[in-house]
Amino acid sequence: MKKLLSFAVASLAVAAVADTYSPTIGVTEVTTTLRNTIVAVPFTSLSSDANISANDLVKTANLAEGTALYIFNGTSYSAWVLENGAWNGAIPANTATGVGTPTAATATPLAKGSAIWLSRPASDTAESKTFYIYGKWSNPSSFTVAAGSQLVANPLQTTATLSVANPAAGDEIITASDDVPVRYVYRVNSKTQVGQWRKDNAQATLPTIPAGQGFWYVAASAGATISFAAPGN
Amino acid sequence: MKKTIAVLFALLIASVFAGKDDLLILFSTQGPDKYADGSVVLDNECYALVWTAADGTQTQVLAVPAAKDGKCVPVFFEIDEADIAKYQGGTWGVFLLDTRDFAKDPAGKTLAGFDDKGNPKVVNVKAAVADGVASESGFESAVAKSGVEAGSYDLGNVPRPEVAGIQIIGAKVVVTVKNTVPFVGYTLQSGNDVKNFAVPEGTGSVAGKIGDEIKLVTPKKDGAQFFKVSTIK
Repeated sequence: MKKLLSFAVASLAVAAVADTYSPTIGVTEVTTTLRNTIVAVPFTSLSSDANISANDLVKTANLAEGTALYIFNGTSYSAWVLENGAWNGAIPANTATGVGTPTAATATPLAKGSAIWLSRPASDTAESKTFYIYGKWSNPSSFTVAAGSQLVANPLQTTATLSVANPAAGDEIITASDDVPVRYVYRVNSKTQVGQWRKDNAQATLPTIPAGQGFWYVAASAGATISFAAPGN
Repeated sequence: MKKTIAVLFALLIASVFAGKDDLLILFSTQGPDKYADGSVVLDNECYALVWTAADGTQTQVLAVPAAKDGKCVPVFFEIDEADIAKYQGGTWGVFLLDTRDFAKDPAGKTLAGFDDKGNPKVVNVKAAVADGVASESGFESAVAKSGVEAGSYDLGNVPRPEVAGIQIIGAKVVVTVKNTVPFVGYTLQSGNDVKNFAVPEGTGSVAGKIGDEIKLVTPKKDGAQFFKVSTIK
């Protein structure tokens, strides 16, 4: 019969393993009722501070086959379609939307702070859609716009209010809508030189942007800086 | 009448030599661990680390009240280099002790605790959960899923764990972690913001592996979540 002995534990000590931590990873739950949603890119690659790929950013869970991602490169779009659970089906060139043939979704980096379009197929009849984006988290920063059109992310993990420093006359903020896009235009009074954001020809408060979503900024000239804050902050 | 232990699942034991030539030991179970009467082990119940020499002699090296939520939390030990010669040519195993004090509590909800020498005051029965031990003393034991792993590491230089991927599966978030080492346990901490992280209730830690990835699972919450992987002492 086996003999079981006990002896002092004096020679034992808890091993001194220093705590180490991975980088912080963010997972954002995006819920939308739109057919076409501007999706934020608030993260970088999981393994580094490099730009995350389109393939890695948007989880395919909950998304219907045929869902498309559109990435605006400043002049035209690249796109992928969800097929067999992967972003691998390029939408061909010469379509009405002017979509070009893209490189692989895995090899297409998305700049942190930018945004992409997610388009649900007609077969996806759900009134509301919830999906997920994820990546390496770092503190959000303000966004300095370039001249022209750009998709901008809400970099927070909450609904964000916008403030814009140094907007140029004629700058526009456009939020997604399945009907007519909602447009905010920065107008400067020619006599007083006082500017204000206007919507439907009336002074307006800039919109809030839900977590995980984004908006268009169409800049008449470069130089405006967009800052983000959680409501109430 | 003595009571004893029934089934332990998923025993993990890792034993390596540290850079300083100390012997490092990590053990844990994934649970649920049960007594012979089928009830889940009580919090603060004891697990014993036992050394079985080549001649079959068993030495209880340590008894520690490591039961929490029905399983053995990861326990790390360091044996001084000078004592390593005692532990050559045998195997390490873990026993679940039944230290319930039935004299005080017929329902077995009271643990007897330790005497002034650090040994359990009451040990009704203990059953090994060592490699290949199918049953002992009439009580069934589980076979370890993982045996002893060995390697040479510098505890002062444990690499930073890295999240390699995230999956959303139903109501769970599955995080794949790389850059792990076998003698270190890893936990997944989550938070609703980047300042407050905690290990979600009901989740545990997983031991690292050599040249392999591990997966950590946590409940998915609505809205945004942040995650980080940490080593544990």
